[in-house]
Amino acid sequence: MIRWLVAGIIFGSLVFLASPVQANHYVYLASEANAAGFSQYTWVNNRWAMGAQSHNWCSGFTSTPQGILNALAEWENAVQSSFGPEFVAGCGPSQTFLFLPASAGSIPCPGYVGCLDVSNWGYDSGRQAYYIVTANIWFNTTQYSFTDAGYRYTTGHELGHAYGLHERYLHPPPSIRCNPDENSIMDTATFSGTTVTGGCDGYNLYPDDKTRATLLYDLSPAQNVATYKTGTNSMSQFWDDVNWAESGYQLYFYYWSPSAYSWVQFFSGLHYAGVGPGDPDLPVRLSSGYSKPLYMPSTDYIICGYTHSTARGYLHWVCGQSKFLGGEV
Amino acid sequence: MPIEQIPFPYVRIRGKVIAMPDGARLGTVFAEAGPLTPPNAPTQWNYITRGKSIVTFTSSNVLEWSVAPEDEADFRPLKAAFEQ
Repeated sequence: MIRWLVAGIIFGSLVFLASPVQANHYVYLASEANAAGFSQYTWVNNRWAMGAQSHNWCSGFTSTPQGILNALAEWENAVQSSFGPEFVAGCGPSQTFLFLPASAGSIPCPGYVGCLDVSNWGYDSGRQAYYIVTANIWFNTTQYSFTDAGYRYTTGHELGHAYGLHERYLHPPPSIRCNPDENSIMDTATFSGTTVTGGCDGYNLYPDDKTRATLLYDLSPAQNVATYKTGTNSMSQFWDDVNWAESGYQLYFYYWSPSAYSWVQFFSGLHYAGVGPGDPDLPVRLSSGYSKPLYMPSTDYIICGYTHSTARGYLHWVCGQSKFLGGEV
Repeated sequence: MPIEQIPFPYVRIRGKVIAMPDGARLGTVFAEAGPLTPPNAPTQWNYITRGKSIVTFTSSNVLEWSVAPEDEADFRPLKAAFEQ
């Protein structure tokens, strides 16, 4: 948001001429606050922090259209390679996705082709971020009809929202149209009359869709690590957190033992920061520090750590600079 | 990682933080427009619902205000925020 505002100031009317065409669609839903005032960090339940291995889905169709099944399989393939969940058919309290025809109830988006209704948000107090617990995917089968490609496109598009992706179509008011600069499932639908026939770019996920979605779950190392000695017996370390998901840093504190000629670990702990209130385009600057009590040896100290998430485990070992604590050498 | 599955604690309406009515649920709809969708119709909105009551809104407009008489008191802070 800040970057966009800065660009607006610099380029003035050029931005405002361009913005209706682009409709200010960010790549990620999380990049803007919604009407309720929060960033939609739409990681999906079960593989967020619960440790479960599946995203359960349920169908309200008498016979689930093949296009829905194909889109599910394609998204499963995309996200499974990144963080592992399987899509398992199963209705009940643990279901994440529910596919519904308009005849199944009161569709929340009459007049529209379909919609993703996030009916239950969860909250991670550590990362201060909201995530999807359950979402209903509605197909407006009373006002529109769907070819198999239409079902596949619509399902793939709505699951894209569930995995955090924003629209990629052009939106010059009052209409919506295909974006010639994008190959994405998040582009808009195509029609023959009121029949949904697919998307502007077909009905498959494109590499950009997969890369963008899985980026939310990937783990990156701590960046721009800087270590400072802040006093005779104290040190601080700062680094940029560019990760999105339910991630943190498992930190390890060591001192150098000359007699053992090795680093000795004396403390470890999980360190993380809230991402919800911030701008996801900007890294969160994290810090940690250590103040040596008198009983600890005067020697070199160092802080190292892994980037950690429950879904991805421990990756990217990074150490700061060692500092001598206990007096000047 | 500490995870809490908690009811939505608050919403921020036009810059003002409002506590959710007790027991209310907040949802978000991402909708895909088609030839039967009115021009300039929103493609994303939120709703707050409890029992028979539902309030649907975008960043700029209240799309639907349907609050049952028994819920009016609890939804009053929300209404005040939209009217400011």
